[in-house]
Amino acid sequence: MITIDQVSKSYGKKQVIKNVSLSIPEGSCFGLVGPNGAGKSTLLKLITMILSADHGEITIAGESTKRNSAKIKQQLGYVPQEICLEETLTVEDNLKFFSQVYNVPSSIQKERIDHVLKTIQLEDRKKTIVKQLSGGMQRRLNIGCTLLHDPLLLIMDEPTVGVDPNSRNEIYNVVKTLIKSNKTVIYSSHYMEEIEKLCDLVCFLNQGEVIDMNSPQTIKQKNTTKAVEVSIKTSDLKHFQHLGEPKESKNGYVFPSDDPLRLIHQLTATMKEHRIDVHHLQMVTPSLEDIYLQKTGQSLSEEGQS
Amino acid sequence: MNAHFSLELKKMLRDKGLVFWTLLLPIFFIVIFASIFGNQSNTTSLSLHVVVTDSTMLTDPFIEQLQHIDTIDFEQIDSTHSTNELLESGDISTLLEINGEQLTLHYDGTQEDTAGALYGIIDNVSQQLHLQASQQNVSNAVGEDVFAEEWFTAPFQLEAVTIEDQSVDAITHIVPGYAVMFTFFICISMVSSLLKDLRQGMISRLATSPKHPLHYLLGKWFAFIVVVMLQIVILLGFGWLVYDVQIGHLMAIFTLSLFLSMTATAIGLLISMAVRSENSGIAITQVLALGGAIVSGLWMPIEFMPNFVQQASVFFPQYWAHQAYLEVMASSGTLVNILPSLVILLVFTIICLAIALFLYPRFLRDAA
Repeated sequence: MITIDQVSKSYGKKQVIKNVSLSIPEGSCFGLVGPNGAGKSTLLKLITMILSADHGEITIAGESTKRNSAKIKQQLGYVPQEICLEETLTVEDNLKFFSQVYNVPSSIQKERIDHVLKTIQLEDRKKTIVKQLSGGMQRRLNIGCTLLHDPLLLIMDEPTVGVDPNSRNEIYNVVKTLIKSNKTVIYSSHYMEEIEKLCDLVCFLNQGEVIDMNSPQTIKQKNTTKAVEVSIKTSDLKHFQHLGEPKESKNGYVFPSDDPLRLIHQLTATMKEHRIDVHHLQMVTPSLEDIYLQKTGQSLSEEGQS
Repeated sequence: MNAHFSLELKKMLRDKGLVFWTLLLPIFFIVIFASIFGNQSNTTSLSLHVVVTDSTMLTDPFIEQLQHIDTIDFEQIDSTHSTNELLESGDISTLLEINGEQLTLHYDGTQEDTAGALYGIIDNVSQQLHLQASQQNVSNAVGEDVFAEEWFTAPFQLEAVTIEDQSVDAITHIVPGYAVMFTFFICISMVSSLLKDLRQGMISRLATSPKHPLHYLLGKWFAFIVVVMLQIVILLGFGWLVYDVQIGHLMAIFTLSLFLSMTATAIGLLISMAVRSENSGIAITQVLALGGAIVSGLWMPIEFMPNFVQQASVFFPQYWAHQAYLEVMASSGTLVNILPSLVILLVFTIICLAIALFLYPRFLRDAA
């Protein structure tokens, strides 16, 4: 569906996308992962033709974005990171506006608006002024506005940023519905659990470069380093120095090991020797976020510039 | 383009702030200034206080003649008052002291014009009395009244004729003046709307749609033209309804209002493309709208302005629009009479629009 070939983009002297090449199959949900400043938004703006690449070529459904932009745009829906709606107008007014912008024929406009309202679960809010909607509802409407022309390709730039967990789940449900309807979805986020839940392909982006791309399961299998998590006090850490360099975790410390059973044995022996009480000890497998951290040395939650 | 046009129009009609700036505030200004300047009479009288410290046989005839002059608001006061005290207290501005045959006109230094006029009148009355006495003496000497009358008749007869221009009164000046001035405040709303779209990602979202970017710009522009047209119609309609201001040739007024709307909104587009913050847009608009109003004679007739201001006024669209409104509303002008103003407004529009279009790609790049 989408092929990105050797694409680069610079802002002034700063190169934000460095020779990126990747391929996204039709009907897949493609997760673009990276912290702020990794180049996610820029890559999405290149795909949506808001920006043009300095080098390389992007083709969508066999058409080059440089040569057939009008044709591609008719099949493309872009959900920006910002909520760009007219907040003083009603939900219906906004949907009518975007249906005109996306050339939806007036004969099917009402039908399309009703269908979209059902998809984003806002049927009973048709006449509500947008600013009276909750943040989550506005986010769903933000998505809905790009569905009116029934695009084949949906590009979502951090659609859940700044919403509460309940609203986030509602947005997941909308996105899941779209994935089931066989649309190709590119989903950018720095929330790894969203990507794991929704995407069948994940691309790790760091400082404008692709550092890994595969299904979440394959990435985990390829990068799994087994480890044991144990709840010990920092003051007791000195007794465990012979077992390697631990990393601090939510429940205590994580000790990496290729042989976790042997490590557990060594840990318990050390605890017994120094009479250390332990409430929590378990084998852990790293999450995608841990793997990203291992590969880049950078946390997804670290702030940076987009 | 239709989508952007109708959306912008809907937004603006629901915007209470815009209603205040475009309608309520100008109507408030018109009412205030009309109540201040609208009831002024064109006839002015000169106030003259007279004190007699020593009289002669000609004092009473002299005072009687002064009292019969319509343009003098005559008042004789008590001679015991000190003349300086009266003037210094500010209670009076001119005082004629009659001390026998000596006449002294005391006046407030800030009232030189009034004092000059009074001096001329008093001197004339004094000369008249002298001539009348001389004529009487000659008549008595030669015994022929006719000869004496011919002898003392002035070689010239001066007559002042007042031409009352019924239409160009203060209200006729104020109503189109404020209508023109406030059309330019639309620039603030335009800057605010376009920069909001830029900040909130609407521009980048629309860039992914199949519509050409010009649809957005032109759709917005046309919507603002309609709003400004409505604003002018309501303000002139208010003047017609409340103050009985003559509207004149309807087609000329409509065409002029359309051209003025296009010019004001083209300037609004240009400012929106040039600035990157609302505060800058507001500052530029204030300078243009208020500065242009002063220089272009929207607040007071351009004839009262210094010469260099009058010369500078031709560089402001407000001047051409206001002069054209006065031509149609006060002098029964038609489209032909205001054609030069229309052409100049069109030139302003084309220039501003061309620069705005030139800057538009940069605006779109900023959205990305």
